[in-house]
Amino acid sequence: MKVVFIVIGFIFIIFFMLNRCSHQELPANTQDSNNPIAQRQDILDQIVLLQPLKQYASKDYESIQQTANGVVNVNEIEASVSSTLWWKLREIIEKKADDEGQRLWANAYLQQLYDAKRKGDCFPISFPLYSKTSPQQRRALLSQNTQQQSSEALTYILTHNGKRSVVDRMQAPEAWSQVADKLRQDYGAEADLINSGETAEDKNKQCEVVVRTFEYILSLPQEQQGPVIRWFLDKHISIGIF
Amino acid sequence: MIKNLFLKQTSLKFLAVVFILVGLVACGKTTHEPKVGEYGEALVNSVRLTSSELEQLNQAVINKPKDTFDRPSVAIGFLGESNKNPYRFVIVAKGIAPNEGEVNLKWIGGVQSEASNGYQPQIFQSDDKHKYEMNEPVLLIASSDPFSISEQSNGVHYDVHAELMEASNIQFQSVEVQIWQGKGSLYSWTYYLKFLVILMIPIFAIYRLVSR
Repeated sequence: MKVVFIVIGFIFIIFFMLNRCSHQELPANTQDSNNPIAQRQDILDQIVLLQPLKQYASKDYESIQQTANGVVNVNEIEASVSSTLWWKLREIIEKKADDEGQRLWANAYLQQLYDAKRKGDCFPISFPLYSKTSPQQRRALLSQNTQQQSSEALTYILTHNGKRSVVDRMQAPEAWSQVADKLRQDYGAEADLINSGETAEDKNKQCEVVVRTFEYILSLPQEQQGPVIRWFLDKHISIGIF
Repeated sequence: MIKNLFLKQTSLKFLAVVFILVGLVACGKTTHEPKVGEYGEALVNSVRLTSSELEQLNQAVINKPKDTFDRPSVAIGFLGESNKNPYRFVIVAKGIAPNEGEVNLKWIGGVQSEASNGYQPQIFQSDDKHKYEMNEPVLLIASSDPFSISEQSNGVHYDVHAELMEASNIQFQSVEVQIWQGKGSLYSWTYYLKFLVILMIPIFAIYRLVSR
């Protein structure tokens, strides 16, 4: 009997030792440094324009979380999330926002343009649709104040439901002609740069035209601003995720 | 005198066996969240369900879906690398037991590569037989068997799906779905020790019978 026990014990020790010897020692803090949930949340928390949704639009935020959860490679989460968020914010800012919300957003967007122009790289903000810039790169173009202002404008939009001007997408509001006239006076044929997107050769001039357009729109009398902003935001994409 | 000595030795042996068994039971089984090394060496991916997904699960516990296709499901993806075999899929469910008694949780699912149309279904369930008090916190861990991917499938995207098959006496508060990679503690010393004890007990019993 003793022999049986010794043999079984011996087998046990061999198995145990084999397992021990083939066991890879894991570096310390493996669990902390490799926590996909925390990594994902970190990425989401860095996206400034997502935070108002987290607080005031939980359903939309959840769908963004689900988008992030579906991405396997951590490096691709930001791109995937910002694409989903971009479509959501376009729906919210261009369609659901009331006139005051859109005015606040247009003001914040103008600040974004100023910041980016100062940094010498306006295109990612003036034409976010065409620019292949990451949210992180866009954030680097914007001051903290501008990021905050944009976030507050979005918060206003999510929490208010005021008057919405009715505009015909195909028909420019009357007050637009004042803006267009001024742009023609300032830039002549170059005023059309606002419609040329990524094909414009002089991106600085193009940025200037976009900036000036928003300045003229926002300097219209308050009662004329609503329809013009609504009509123009439908034409010119002003949302870049950062 | 000799008889007393024999009795003393037998009692000591008996006590030693009892201590070992109690020790094994105490060390071997306490429910806790998966730690590094238990289900694998590294956590490849992990997803916490959102509140609407949790709501769906809780709804399915109360009103059991009549149609198989209405069962709420969870999923998680990962990129297969054969040098990181084996993989394991783990569901960590936390919540409370609304009533007194046992909690039951059973999932059905499987691993599917982006190149395949279906998967071989298997049951994932925790073997929790604990009788819970009303509103007692519950932590259930359900895991798949370890599975490996072939060298040809390196870099292929895999998804693990699991549908809630049966659930009773649980109100979910959080559900986390995880993919672990590498050898887990299924091969740890406690596993071998338990195996050894299980093997030794019948051998010892047979020996005692035969020696009489």
